[in-house]
Amino acid sequence: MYGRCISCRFFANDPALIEATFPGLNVLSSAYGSVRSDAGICSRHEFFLSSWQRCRDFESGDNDGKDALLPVEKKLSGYSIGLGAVLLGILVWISYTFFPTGH
Amino acid sequence: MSNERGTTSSLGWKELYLKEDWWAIYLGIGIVIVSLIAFLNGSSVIKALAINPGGLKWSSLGQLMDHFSANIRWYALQLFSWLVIFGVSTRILGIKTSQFLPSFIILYVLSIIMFAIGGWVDAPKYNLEPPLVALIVGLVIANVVPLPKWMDAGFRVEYYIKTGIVLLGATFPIALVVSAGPVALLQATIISLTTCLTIYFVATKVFGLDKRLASVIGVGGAVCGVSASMAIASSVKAKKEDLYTSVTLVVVWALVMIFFIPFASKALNLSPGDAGAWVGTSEFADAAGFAAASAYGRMAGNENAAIQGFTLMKVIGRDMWIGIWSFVFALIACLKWEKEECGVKPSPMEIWWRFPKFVIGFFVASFFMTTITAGYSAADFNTLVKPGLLLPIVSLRSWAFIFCFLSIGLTTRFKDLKAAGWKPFGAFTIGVAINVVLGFVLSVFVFGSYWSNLGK
Repeated sequence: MYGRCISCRFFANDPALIEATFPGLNVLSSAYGSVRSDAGICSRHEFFLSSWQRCRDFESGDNDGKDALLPVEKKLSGYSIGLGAVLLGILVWISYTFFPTGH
Repeated sequence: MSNERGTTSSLGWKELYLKEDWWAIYLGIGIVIVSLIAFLNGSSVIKALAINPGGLKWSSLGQLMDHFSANIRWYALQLFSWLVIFGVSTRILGIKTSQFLPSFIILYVLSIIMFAIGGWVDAPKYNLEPPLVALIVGLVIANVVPLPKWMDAGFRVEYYIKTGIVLLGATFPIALVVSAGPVALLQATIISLTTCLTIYFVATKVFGLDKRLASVIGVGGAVCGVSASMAIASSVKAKKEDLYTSVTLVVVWALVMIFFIPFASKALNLSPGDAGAWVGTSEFADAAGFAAASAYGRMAGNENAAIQGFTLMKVIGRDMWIGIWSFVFALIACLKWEKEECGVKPSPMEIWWRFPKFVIGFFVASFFMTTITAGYSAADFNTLVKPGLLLPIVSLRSWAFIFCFLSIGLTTRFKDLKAAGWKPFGAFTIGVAINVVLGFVLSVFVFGSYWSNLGK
């Protein structure tokens, strides 16, 4: 069984790249929509195809970043932790200020 | 957003923040909830923030200027609000903020001008309907002034129309969705199958085109234009140029239909509901269809009926089934076209992955607002709910739509479109002709009595 296109080094599905590859695509559609799912371009065969497909010319992309967090995920994680810490501080302050008898 | 070779790993839950469909739901439902909270607390802030000059009926430039000078703070606050909600969400989607912001500001200024033109007291006399004017102005600018490509960052046609459709759901009675469902689905099934099979067989049997190209342009013409073409192209492993060909065909014919159907409807004196259903049956893309339906609705004096007819036919009748089309064609490609090559069968989950999720937002908004407003008497609904809650949402929806209509024109650069070749053009055009005639017959004669009652 060959590897899936999503892990192949010839496969690219970045939405900005797809819109740049097909001028006019963004006039009445979008590469950022659900309908595209995670389909992309195979530069080996010049296909537009779904990421779950497989082929005999598969070459591993070496998981370059495949499982790592995306920059936006890192940011979201950072913001969430920061917001959580701030809100926790506010909660402690409210607790000590307005409900001192509980301590 | 993606790694060095431009690949984003399997989406899974990431779809919740990496797809504009979900953001359209968050924004649309968020606006509805904030509007409701303001309404229940007696605040008129959303009403003031939803300002637009479209209903002014001004007859002198002085009147128009007086309106702007009196409300400049609200317009500034409105622009800021749009910049924040669209700017943050597009940033998370992966669009550069440094490109989005200047582009969106220009779009906003042009939108105000479009609304102002629509608000001119003599605009109806000259058919100056904002959707059509916006489209023409956008087309002229994009093809005369060399707009840099990066400006497309702010001209997000699909994002704006999806947000507008979710907002539309808030003013769309759920009872109408339920009662209209069967008729819309039946009409959509007839038209989609007929159009797709016509284009497919003409393309393969008459013009001898490849079956993948035939399926890409066939479903593109039958279901939802470029989005459908993209879904089918990836399902059947089409060549890049097949998709590119379909993009050109759909864009060109969709632009023609934006003008043809409203003016043909006017010549035939169709009811707004009938015309809206016809647009929903025969137009190729949501954005283009809303422009056509809205334009004719305004010409006929009942925009709501035309938009209702269009939405029922296109969004509910046709768009929702793209996942099924995609799955079926993936199966055909795998089991029939490439038995030897196919390494893996498509999963039925394809139907969900491809589902245009913003439609969920439309249903949620419709159900939510119908439930909330059900407790009001007819008198309270007309004197309190309508002006205090629904009309501000309608105005914000109009903003989203005008952003979209302008963006269609501003992103259409004819010189960038690939020459489609006369054979694909011929096959697609025959499909278009059959689609338009059949769509008219179904909308006006077969189910006409039903559609013409909309909006009454």
